[in-house]
Amino acid sequence: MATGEHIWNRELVLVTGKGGVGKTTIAAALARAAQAEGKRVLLAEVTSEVANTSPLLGFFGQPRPHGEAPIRLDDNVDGVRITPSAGHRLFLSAALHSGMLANAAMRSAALNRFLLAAPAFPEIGTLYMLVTLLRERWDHVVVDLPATGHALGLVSLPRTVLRILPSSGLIGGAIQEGLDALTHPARTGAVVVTLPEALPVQEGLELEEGLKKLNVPVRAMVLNRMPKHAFSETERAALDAHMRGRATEPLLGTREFRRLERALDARARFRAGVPAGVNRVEIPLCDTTTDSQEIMEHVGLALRQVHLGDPSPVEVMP
Amino acid sequence: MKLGALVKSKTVVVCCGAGGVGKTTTSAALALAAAKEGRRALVLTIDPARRLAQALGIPPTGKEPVHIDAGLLAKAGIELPPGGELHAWMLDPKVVLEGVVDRFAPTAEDAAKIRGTRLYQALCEVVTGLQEYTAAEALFEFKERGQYDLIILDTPPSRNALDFLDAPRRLARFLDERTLAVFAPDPDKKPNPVVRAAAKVVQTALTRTFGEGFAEELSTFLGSFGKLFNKMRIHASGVRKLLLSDQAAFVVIASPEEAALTEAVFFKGRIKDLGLVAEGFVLNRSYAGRQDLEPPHDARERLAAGGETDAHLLDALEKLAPLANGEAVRIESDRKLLDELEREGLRDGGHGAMALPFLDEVVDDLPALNVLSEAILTVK
Ligand SMILES: Nc1ncnc2c1ncn2[C@@H]1O[C@H](COP(=O)(O)OP(=O)(O)OP(=O)(O)O)[C@@H](O)[C@H]1O
Ligand SMILES: Nc1ncnc2c1ncn2[C@@H]1O[C@H](COP(=O)(O)OP(=O)(O)OP(=O)(O)O)[C@@H](O)[C@H]1O
Ligand SMILES: [Mg+2]
Ligand SMILES: [Mg+2]
Repeated sequence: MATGEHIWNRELVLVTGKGGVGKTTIAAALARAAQAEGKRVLLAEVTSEVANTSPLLGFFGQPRPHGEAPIRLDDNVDGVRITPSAGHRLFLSAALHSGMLANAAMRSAALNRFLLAAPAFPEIGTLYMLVTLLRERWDHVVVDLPATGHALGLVSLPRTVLRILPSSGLIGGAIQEGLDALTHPARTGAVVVTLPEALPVQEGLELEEGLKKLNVPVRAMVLNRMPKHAFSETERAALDAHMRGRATEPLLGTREFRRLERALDARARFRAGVPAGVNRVEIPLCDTTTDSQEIMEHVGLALRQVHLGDPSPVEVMP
Repeated sequence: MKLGALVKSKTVVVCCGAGGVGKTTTSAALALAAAKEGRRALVLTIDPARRLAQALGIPPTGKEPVHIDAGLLAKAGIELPPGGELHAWMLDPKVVLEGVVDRFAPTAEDAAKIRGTRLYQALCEVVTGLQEYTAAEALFEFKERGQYDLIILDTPPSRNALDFLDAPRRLARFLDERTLAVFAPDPDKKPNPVVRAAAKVVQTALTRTFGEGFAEELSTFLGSFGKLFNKMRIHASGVRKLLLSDQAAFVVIASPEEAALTEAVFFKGRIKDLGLVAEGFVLNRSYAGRQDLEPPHDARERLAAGGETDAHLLDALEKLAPLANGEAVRIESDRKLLDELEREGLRDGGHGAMALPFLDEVVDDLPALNVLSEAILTVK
C-alpha cells in the first residue's frame, strides 16, 4: 500500500460498521476533508423511503429528504439519498425508455408491492442507483452504509442475483457493473468503523473479514471515540486496587474509569487484530462538545491529518 | 413503567430500538426475570453476541429453542421457582424458512420441488430482509405451540426493526390475492380482464428489466410457492392480531449514548403509525441510579489526612477528576433524560419509562443478566 495517501483516496469510499459507531459522522468528515483538499465529492446516504430525516446530509444543511436527484450541498460537495424506490424508478425508466412509463409502472400497486416487499428487491434498487451514480463524475463518492448486517447483505447481493438473473438483462448488467466496482482495489476502499469496546472491536474485525471474503477491498479500520487519559500504568493499578478495596461509598468516576480500562483493552485487541495490509486509524473521543456538527468538523480535521501507512496512529484533536 | 409487571402479565413482549442500545441484552434479561417469576419464558434473539449465546448455550443454527439447564443457572446463582423455565433461540432466517416449507407444502415432494428452485436457494442466501419476515413467522409458530407463557422478541438493529413491525402487514399486502394473480396466475382460474392487463404490463416491465426468461421463472416459483403463501398470509394476519391485542407489549429501548430521546420518540411514533401501542421506554446503561458517591478530590484529602503514603494512588485520584466530572455530568443528564422519557412514555396510552443500570462489565453471561433481571423485578 502506498504510504502518505489520504484515507478517502478512492473513487468509491464505503463507510460501514455496526450501529452508532460514528459511520455518518465519519462519512461527512471524509467529505469535509476531501473538499478541503479541493476534491469534488458526492455524499451518498443509503436509506429507506420511510426515513423522514437525513442525518448525513443534515451535516451540510439538508436535514430533510429533498427528492431523488443529487443536490448541491456546498462548494464541490453534492449529496444524494439512495433509496430502493428511487433505484427502482431509475431502472424502470431505463428499461421502458421513458420516465413517464416508469412512473406509471411504479404506480401499479402490484409491481410496487412486489419491488418493495420481495426479499432482495429493495437492495437491488439501492445497488442499481449506486451504479448509476458511479457512472457520473465526482472525484469521490462517499457512501454511508446502514448497520453491519445490511452492508454485508448489500455487497453479497450481486453474486446471488447474478446466479438467478441473466447478465444480459438491464439489471443483471448493472449488477455486474456494481460487482466490478465494489471489488476493484484501485477504485474502491471500504472504511470499517468501530468503537473501543470489546464486542464492537470483535464485530468490526469480523466485518472486515466478511468484506474481504466478498473481495471488497478494505482500506482502513477506524477506532472511533478513543478516550484520552493521563494515568501511568502504576497509577491505574493503584486506583484499581483502591476502588476494589473501598469500604465506604463508591468513588465518583469509578464507572468512567472502568470504561476507560475497557477501552484500553479493546484498543489493544484492535491493534493486534487488524490484519497486515489494512490501515489502522484511531480517532479520539471528542468530549469538549456534544454538538454533532462540531464533532464532525473536529473529526474532519483529524482525518485530514491521517496519512495511511504512517507508523503511528493519529491522536490529534483540536 | 413496570417491566416487572409486564413480564408477569403479558404473553408477548417486543423489544425494539436503535442499533446497539441493548435490545438483545434486555430481551434476555426480561426472559430471565419472567422465569424467576415462575413463568415459562422464551427469548427469540437476533444476532446475539457470540459470548452471550455461548453463555446461554444456544447453538447458532439450532432448529429448536434450548431449554436452559437448571445446573447452568445454579452455577450463576439463579434458582427458578416451580414452573419457571428459561428457553432461548437464535433466529436463523434459513431455518425458519425451511420450517415453513416443510410444514406448509402439501406433500414432501412439493417441499423438495420448492427447495430445488434456484430462486428459493437464492432467497435463502439473501439474509437481508428475511430476518424481518422470519421473526414474525417464528413468533407465530412458537405462540401456536402453547409451550410458553411468555415470548420475548428481540428485533434486528437500527431502523430495520421498523421493517419487522411492518413485516406482517407488508407480507399480507404482498401476498394479497391480486398481487399474486398478477405474478403467478392460477391456471385453474380465469383471471378477470383487469388482472390480465395488469399482468401483461408487469410481465413486460419485468422482462425488459430483468432479462428474457426471468419473468417466467418468477411465475413458476411463485406458483409453486403459492399454496404456501396462503398459509403464510393467514399467519401474517395472525401475528398482527396478536401484536394488536392486549396480550402483547412493545417496549422501546434507548441508551444515553445515542440521540436517545429523538430516536426513542421516533420508534414510538412508528409503532403508533402501525396501529400499535408502545408500552414505554427503557433507558438502558443508565447512570441515573447511584447516589452518594465520593468525589475523588474528597477521597484524596481524606486518605492524605489518614496518612496514605502511596503517591501513585494520590496522583491517580487527582487525575481521576476529569472522569469524575464526566460521570457527574452523565448522572445529571441521564436523570433529565429519564424524566423526559417518562413524560414522553406516558403519552398516547403508554406507561412511562424505567432505567436499567450501566453494569461495570460487558453483559455476556448469566450472572450479569441476573443483575439486570433483578433491576427489572425490583423497580418500584
Ligand atoms: N470522535 C467522536 N467523538 C465524540 N462523539 C462522536 C465521535 N464520533 C461520533 N460521535 C457521536 O456519536 C454519535 C453516533 O454517531 P453517528 O450518528 O455518526 O453514528 P452512526 O454509526 O452513523 O449511527 P447509525 O448506525 O445510527 O447510523 C453521534 O452523537 C456523534 O456525534
Ligand atoms: N446495562 C448494560 N450495562 C453494560 N453493558 C451493557 C448493558 N446493556 C447492554 N450492554 C452491552 O452493550 C452491547 C450492546 O448490547 P446488545 O447487543 O444487547 O445491543 P442490541 O441493541 O441488541 O444491538 P444490535 O442493534 O447490534 O442488535 C453489548 O456489549 C452488551 O453487553
Ligand atoms: Mg448513521
Ligand atoms: Mg441485538
